[in-house]
Amino acid sequence: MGTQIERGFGARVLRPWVAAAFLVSPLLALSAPDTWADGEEGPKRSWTILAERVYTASGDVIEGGWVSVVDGKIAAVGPAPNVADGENVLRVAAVTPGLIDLSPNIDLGFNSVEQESEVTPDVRVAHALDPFSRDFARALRSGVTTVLCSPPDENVIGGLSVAVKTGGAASIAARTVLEDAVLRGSFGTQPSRRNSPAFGRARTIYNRRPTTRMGVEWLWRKSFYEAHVARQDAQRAFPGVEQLHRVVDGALPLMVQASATQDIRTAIFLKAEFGIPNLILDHAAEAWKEPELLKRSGASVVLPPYAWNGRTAVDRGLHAWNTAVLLEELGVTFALSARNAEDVDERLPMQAAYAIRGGLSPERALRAVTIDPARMIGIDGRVGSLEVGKDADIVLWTGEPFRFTSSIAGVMLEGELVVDPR
Amino acid sequence: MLSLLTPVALFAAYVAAPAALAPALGGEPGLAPQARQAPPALVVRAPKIHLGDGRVVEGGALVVSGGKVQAVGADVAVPQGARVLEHDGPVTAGFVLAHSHLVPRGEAFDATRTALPEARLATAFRASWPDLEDALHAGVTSVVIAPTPQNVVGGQAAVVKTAGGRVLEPASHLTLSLSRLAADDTRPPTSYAGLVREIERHLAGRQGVFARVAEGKLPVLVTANDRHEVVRAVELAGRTGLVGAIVGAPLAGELLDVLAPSKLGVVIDAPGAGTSQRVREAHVALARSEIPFALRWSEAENLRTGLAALLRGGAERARLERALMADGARLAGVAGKVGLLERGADADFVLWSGDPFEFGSRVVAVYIDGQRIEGDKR
Repeated sequence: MGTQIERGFGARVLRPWVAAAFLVSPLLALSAPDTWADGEEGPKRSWTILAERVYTASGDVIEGGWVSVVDGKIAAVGPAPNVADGENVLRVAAVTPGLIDLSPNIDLGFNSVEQESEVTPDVRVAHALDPFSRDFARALRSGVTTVLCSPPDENVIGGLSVAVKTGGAASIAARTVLEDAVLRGSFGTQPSRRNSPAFGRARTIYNRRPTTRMGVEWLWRKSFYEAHVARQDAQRAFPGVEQLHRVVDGALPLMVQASATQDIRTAIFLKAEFGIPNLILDHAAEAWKEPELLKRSGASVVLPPYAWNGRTAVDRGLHAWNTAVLLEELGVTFALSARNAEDVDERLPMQAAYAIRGGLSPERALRAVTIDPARMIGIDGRVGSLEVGKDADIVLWTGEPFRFTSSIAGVMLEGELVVDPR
Repeated sequence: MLSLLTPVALFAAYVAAPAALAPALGGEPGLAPQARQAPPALVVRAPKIHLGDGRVVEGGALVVSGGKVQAVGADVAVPQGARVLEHDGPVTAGFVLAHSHLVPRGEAFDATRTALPEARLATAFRASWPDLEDALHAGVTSVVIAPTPQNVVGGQAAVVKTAGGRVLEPASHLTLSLSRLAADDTRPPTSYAGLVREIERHLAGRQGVFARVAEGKLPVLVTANDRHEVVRAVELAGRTGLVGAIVGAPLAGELLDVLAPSKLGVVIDAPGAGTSQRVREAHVALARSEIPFALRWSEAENLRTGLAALLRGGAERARLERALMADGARLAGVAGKVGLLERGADADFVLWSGDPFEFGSRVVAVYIDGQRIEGDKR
């Protein structure tokens, strides 16, 4: 890939003689009038972006580079040719791919988790999200273009998460990048904290198990055990068994919230017991405390937001500034997340800045909010880096990205300039 | 012999007497139906007759007999022996509302189960229920009574007349709910995803009434209020082939692109005192689109004044009239019977003292199936 000018999908729009004329007159090369038109087809989706530094997140930082966007896709990335100013030319200090948050905490609260049962693997959170929610708009403004929405962790197994763009059409279905991306569940206190036993007659649906951590773990093992039995005997199938089979077969990643060390251990033991190939530990700030277990398991980690008190919001796990560096040293794949912070200083770009402050290299920090989360859930074919053919989800910066002194000048989603730097 | 014949003769005279007396008694059905005479036709002449689909007949007449409309137009033949009624104000078709809970209190929501597909609200219809009279005196002659949206499958709605007790259609729609009211954490389903899953399961199972619903033979009334609820409802209908209308949707006018391809209608509340400017503008946008919409009965009687507000906001009068009458009947599933004054339709019409959209106008009289009910002074 390197510093060559990429010819990809966009090149098919250009005529052959243009390629020869390209070196002579970049403006001729760019003149495909139909693609610049705005109006009837909606917002403009074709641009020329020139940046002092182009951070592709695929290994290269291009000095004096450009990104050519045609019809919402990246058509070219490389050293910039001479381009005169125009209404579709943007000049900024730096560009990065649109950020990706695997734990954005965007949902409708209790109305997004089906509590008729503690284990609901077949419920799709995609049917319980609000595309008009301000949470999506807030994430988009802070540079996050793709998120993985999950059911709230009130259930032991809450159901199927969905990867969606944070803007665009007025429906979750139209914004979906990957349906049924992961199966979501939780260890720890959250699934049990509202429950109490029914002494005598049950009065509400919360008079049920589990009421402790060990009850939660019991339900996990029971679910996977019964799925295993249902494999031998089809009569013993139950709603959700298909999803559990897909998890065990490796076709569906399992993403669990496991904040404290004992919950991380429990999750890894479950993975080992049932041979679950692909495990993602969300909110796992204390993952570094079990280095051998973590490395042997091959699990990946989503780190929660850094808090100034050094503790995580859920289960008060220890989360110092250098947590990310420790995981890097262990060779563990990890991503950063922001849990939909309202405070501007706690959103995903700042989380990367905090990780850098804790010792993480800027290149790794960039990857931890772009291509690595994309790879963890298998959407890296479409998003996560500035490569030809991928969606034009781009963040435009006033200075070096993830610096305390820089800010986001603009955000582009599939070629639409949703936050305009001009 | 005479002694035997006398009782027979007396009996025959007894039987024949009512028939002989029939004209004097005003045509009561007696023991000799063959002698009963048809009541005379009624001809209503008025400067403006609003047919119900937006068309207005000027200086014409409406001919009604046997509880049905015989003719309406500018030049109609007056049948022999017809009574002629000259009315100096507008006449409209009776209003048809596509959704309401006009049944005795507590009857529209059954808490035993969250899905009651075979329950029929027609069982709870009480013709003497006072709220029906309120609707009647607002010009409403037919109305859909539906279960409330606290249950994901509330039951089967019905179409009834607001006076006279006639049930026009005992099982007109299946009521579904995708609103927050149906998803609370006191009992399952507790989430929107659970609501969708439950409805899809029933449709896939095709048991009972769901067999017809799944084939699009029985329309549904789906309650959805917030914009994401409306989008979810439209997408569910698209996936499963549902026909019918969305109830509520105050911001439907902001979702025209989502609604248009779906062929679903929308049943809205007329705006009232507390309705925001944003909702009013959305209603005007809806009225200016091609999406069929109708009105529902809400507790406050602001049907006409609310629509007048939309008129001021830029909606067209013809479209609003259609929403009240012809499209109301269409979304209620009773087009052809009510909602439009044409030959063969029920003789449901309203005599007004002035323009129905004017606050100062009142109902002079309502005819339902040809029977006159005097307007009261409200």
